[in-house]
Amino acid sequence: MSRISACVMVLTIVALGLLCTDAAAVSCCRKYTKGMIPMSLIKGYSIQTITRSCHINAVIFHTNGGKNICTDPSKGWVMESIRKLREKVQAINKKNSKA
Amino acid sequence: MDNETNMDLEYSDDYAEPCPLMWYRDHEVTVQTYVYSLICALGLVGNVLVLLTYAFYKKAKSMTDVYLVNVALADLLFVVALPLIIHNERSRWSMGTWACKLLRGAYSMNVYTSTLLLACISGDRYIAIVQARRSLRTRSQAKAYSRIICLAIWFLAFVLSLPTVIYHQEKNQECITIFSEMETARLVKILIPSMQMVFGFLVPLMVMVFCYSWTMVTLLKAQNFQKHKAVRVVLAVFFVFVLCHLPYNVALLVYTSKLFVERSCGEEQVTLMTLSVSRTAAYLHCCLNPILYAFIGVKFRSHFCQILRDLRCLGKRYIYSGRSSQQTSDLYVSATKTVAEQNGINDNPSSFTL
Repeated sequence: MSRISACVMVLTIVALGLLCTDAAAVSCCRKYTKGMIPMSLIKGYSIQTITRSCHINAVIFHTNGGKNICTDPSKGWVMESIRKLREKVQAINKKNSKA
Repeated sequence: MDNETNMDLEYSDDYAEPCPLMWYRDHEVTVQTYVYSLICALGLVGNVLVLLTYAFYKKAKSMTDVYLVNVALADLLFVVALPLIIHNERSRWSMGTWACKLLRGAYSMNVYTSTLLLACISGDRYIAIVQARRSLRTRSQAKAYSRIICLAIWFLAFVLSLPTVIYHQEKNQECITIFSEMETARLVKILIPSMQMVFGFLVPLMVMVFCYSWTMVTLLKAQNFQKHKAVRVVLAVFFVFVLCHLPYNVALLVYTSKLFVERSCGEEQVTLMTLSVSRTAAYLHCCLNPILYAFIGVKFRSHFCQILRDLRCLGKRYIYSGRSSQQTSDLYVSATKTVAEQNGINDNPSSFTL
């Protein structure tokens, strides 16, 4: 018993050691920012939905300071900010088309 | 530009940023690796030996024996899958979608089959001891049903594991649940842990509480020199089950009840770490089962010792030709005889072996 158990244990530990590598980072919004974010700070946005491994829907704004800020997509100012970002993109699109 | 910098600082205290969910793994990866290795090794050795004992030395002749073989199979299935599950929990998933589905499904199947079969064992012991008089005539018939009951439990476990298998996929090298609709996501994310808590813990627990309570009462009334040992066995079996599974199910309940509401990053991280640690304790049960249920029986231990002797000699194995006990645990045979005598049944002892 002790020999068999020891052999199996050693083999198992070696196998697990080979399998272990660095953990991947997984981040999710779990809470919304209460205040508004000034439009001048917003560079872009991402969308988080509950259809993946996160559990609340959110809009994540990327800011000039390098922060990612979680916001509530049901808020009017959030949709307004996204609309303004879209206007910026459309303006850039027009300029590139003219060139 | 200076104004923008100041505005940034002004808002910094109020920002809610994405919460890193796996921060704790860096701290406890080493500890868990060794614990998991121990679980794999002991679970592998214990359950293989149980199956070897039944295959070559001791025919499964009682309902409990049939249940124990199936518990060992379920635990063995899980213990073989566990190294791969650990790999997933520590690194990028590199085995694709089908491995993702199968491994998550293997864990789910083990939870259901193992706990439900343990509940059946408690039911069998209740019938054997508490209903000793009534069960004498129907036991031979009931034994024929044990295989049907096992098949039903495996089928139920498969059905209950289907949502887990269906919705798990590999995406961006992660094994996660993926849904096409938000309403489906909301429903299934509640359904999977809820089913696991109900059928994987609460139902087996209630069956065990009922059956072992009556078993204890009956054993304590019996005038038998072995009754104290039998009582300790019942208590050990029950409390190990609770100790292994209760913390995880409580953590799962907390986690599930706050799934779709806002909560702080710290709270979420503590809950996830608690889930991770208590899941390890739940895993532990599958290498304790051989010790708690199989090796407690005197005859089973003698067969087990015989395996060791045969393995050492590398000699030819002999099928045990002696009379097999109807019960895995001889303690319950003695208790049953005593109870039968008290109830005025005067059949000779051989009527207990079929």
